[in-house]
Amino acid sequence: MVSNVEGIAMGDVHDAPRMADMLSAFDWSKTSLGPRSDWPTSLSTAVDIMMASGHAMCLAWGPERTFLYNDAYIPILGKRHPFAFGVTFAEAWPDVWDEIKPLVDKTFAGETSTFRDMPLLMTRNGYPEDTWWSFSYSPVRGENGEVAGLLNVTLETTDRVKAERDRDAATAELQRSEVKWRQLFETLEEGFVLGQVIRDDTGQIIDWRYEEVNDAWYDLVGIERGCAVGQTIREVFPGVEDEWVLEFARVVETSQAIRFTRQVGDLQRWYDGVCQPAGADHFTVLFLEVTDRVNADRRREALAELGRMLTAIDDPEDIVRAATALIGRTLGVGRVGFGTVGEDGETFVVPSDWTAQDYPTLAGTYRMDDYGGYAQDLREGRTVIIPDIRLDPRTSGDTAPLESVAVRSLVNRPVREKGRTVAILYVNDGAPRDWTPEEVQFITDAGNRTWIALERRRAEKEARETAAFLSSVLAASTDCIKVVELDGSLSFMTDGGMKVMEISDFNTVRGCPWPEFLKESGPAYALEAIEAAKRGETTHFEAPADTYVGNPRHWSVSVSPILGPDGETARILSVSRDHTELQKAREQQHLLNGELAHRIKNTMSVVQAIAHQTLSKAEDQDAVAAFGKRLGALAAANDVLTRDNWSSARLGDVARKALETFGEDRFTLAGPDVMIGPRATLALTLMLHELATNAAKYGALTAPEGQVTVTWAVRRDGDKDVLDLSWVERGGPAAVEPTRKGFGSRIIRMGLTGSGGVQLRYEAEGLSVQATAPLYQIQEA
Amino acid sequence: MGQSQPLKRWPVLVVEDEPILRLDAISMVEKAGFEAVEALSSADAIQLLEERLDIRLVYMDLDMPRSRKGIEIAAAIRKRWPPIEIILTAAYFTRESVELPERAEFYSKPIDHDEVIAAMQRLIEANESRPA
Repeated sequence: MVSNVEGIAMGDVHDAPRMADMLSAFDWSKTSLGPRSDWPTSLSTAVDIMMASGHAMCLAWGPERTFLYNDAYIPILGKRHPFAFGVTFAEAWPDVWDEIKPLVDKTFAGETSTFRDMPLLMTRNGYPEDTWWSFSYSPVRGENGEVAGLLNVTLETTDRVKAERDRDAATAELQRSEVKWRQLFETLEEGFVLGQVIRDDTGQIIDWRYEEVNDAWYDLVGIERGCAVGQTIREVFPGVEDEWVLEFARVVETSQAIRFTRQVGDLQRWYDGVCQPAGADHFTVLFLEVTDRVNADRRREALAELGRMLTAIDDPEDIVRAATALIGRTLGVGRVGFGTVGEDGETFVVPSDWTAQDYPTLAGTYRMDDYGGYAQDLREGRTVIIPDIRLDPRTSGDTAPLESVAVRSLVNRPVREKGRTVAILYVNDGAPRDWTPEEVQFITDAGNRTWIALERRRAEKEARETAAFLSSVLAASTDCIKVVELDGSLSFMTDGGMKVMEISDFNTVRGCPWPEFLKESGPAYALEAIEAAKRGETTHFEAPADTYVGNPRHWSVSVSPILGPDGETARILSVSRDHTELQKAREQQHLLNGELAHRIKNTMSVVQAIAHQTLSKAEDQDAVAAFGKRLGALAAANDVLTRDNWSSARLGDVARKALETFGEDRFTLAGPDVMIGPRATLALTLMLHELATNAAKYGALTAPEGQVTVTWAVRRDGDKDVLDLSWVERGGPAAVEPTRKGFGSRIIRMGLTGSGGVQLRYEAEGLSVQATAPLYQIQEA
Repeated sequence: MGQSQPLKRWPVLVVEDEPILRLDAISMVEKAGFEAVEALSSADAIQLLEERLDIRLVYMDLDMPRSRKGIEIAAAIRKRWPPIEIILTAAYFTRESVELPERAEFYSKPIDHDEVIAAMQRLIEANESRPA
């Protein structure tokens, strides 16, 4: 059989002619074998054996190599069956005869040929399929010992060949894959380790050995390539954490893969890893260095944690303590502190700092300049980053002060406020360290947040204290302090205010219109005051109002605007002070003053009456009349003074009152609102009375058109204010200086204070008088 | 003084509880040319006015403490005897602080004699020329 032979089965095996039947039915006489009855025993025996066999067999017998086969052989023949039965071997396989003839000849020469796994495309199940066969050509001896025939025993090996092919393909695939994985393994960015655990006598895993390690792993952990293979982890990393052994041991023992993120030893590096069992005490570990990611995570988490702490902690010192500890642990440094810088930019105060083990604290008060040449950078707000103080020009000059407190590298982050460095967050380490921009950013963020939190706490504390202080002040006040909205409604009242107003629950008056609490002119005053407050003005008035339970009170009320953020009046502050007692006293005083004025004037009247009666027969009745009029002038001054309880009077009022009886249309009075004391009031009254009396007798008032102008003004003279008062008569006769100087003249010359300062000019147009006196003298009591 | 011809010596009622001031007022009335009729209190005054129907002018002190308020008496006189002229005086009150009855005049104590005498004459003259 050869590879290009095609065999096709003839339909269903059960329907095909059975070879035993064909053997019997076949007319063998026409073949070189002759009738069956004549067949030699060897042939019959060979045929019998063949026909009985389940293996595919065929037999070529005799000089013509007559071809016989059994049932199992039919599929191999394909459509050659049943023609091939009983023909010559050459006729049965004409197309391959040339190829097999030498084999056939060799077999008839006594040799046995064996073939393995010859392919044959066979259609036996309705479709062509690849089949493989192993067969042997073996000689069959005749009665005389000669080779009479050839027996071909055929075994189908398709399944085995296929299995072997699959296996070979798999093996090839495996090899290709191994190459591929090996390349991957070598080019992997991830570190890869194949390890084998090491057990002690009791079978306990105590260590493991590096069997395979890729370059990436060496690079990741920073070990020279090739140095680890053959060594154990404890040898490579003396003092390595036990987890590195125990966890991988667990992987081997349980055949369960694990994932981990872990720091390796002193290297400050972090790894993500997967450890998988690899059979027979082996395991693989895939490493990826994630130090940056882990650190970034830690910093991010630290900032988040810082945020939580800053919100949760109230005490400023606790805030600093917690923040510095968090920063220190996150960065894995030796010391973190937060100090404040005095307004002088020089004093640096550190209440406390966080330190790693064996680092001394730097808590205390320092001069900024004591710590190297970077103080100016800090003052000007520049972050100072020094990886190694021995190499930095700002510190290399004298490293002793820093090294004495275990500072070899540092980051100092100034916190700025209003253009000034107000605090510094310092991060130190005893070893040189390359600070990454991310770490510096973290320090910056943490420092700023801490400062903001501290400032907020401080502000809150101040606000609380201020509020408590204000509240205690308000509560202590016996004034009724109220807040009134722009529409006049009450929105707030102090406890003290409620007490004096006899209000037990503010809610009973909240929102009520404030002006309506007042009586008499009070509501009008209050409305005016509200309008004034809306314009930004503070006003004051007095008015009566009953307390909430109806007790009458008199109030001194001050109303001022409460400005909003926009500078406009947002609300109104009304402070009412109980002036009831004061008002009573005032009323009493007023009553007494009135009574006193009455008695004085009454006494004056009696004096006047006595004078009149006494002098009724005297010759100089003019003098008597003059006396009466002077007394009248005195009484007029008394009236003016009584209005303000004898404390002071308006100059204008005094002048008007003094000149009242001389005809109001004859005088023009002009001058500022000046208050004068009681003595000046009497002096001015008597002086004006005399001047007016004279004017009526001899001066401007003798003429119908005559006029008197009285003006006054205050001017600055050196370091004091001076009052000038002038009396100018016009429209009357020319003034003539009197030859006789009586009491009236003397009163005039005494002036405003009784001590002169008066100039009289007798002019053709009329008399003019200038009286001058220091204002303070005029105003004194 | 202000008159063009001598006036009749009309009776003028002086109401003043202070004796010296009453004397002084009487002399003023006489100086003005009238007959003084004295009353020591407002009650006196009312009684006199009821009896002496010829009184044309009342000169009254408002300060009298022991009787009804002077200004009320004045108002009552004006109401009851409308033709009678009224001159009021006071030490306690001022011109501004009292509401004067119609046609009444007020002079603050201590009074100016000339002024009050002139006022008496002026009012009597006006009273005479008014149709009764």
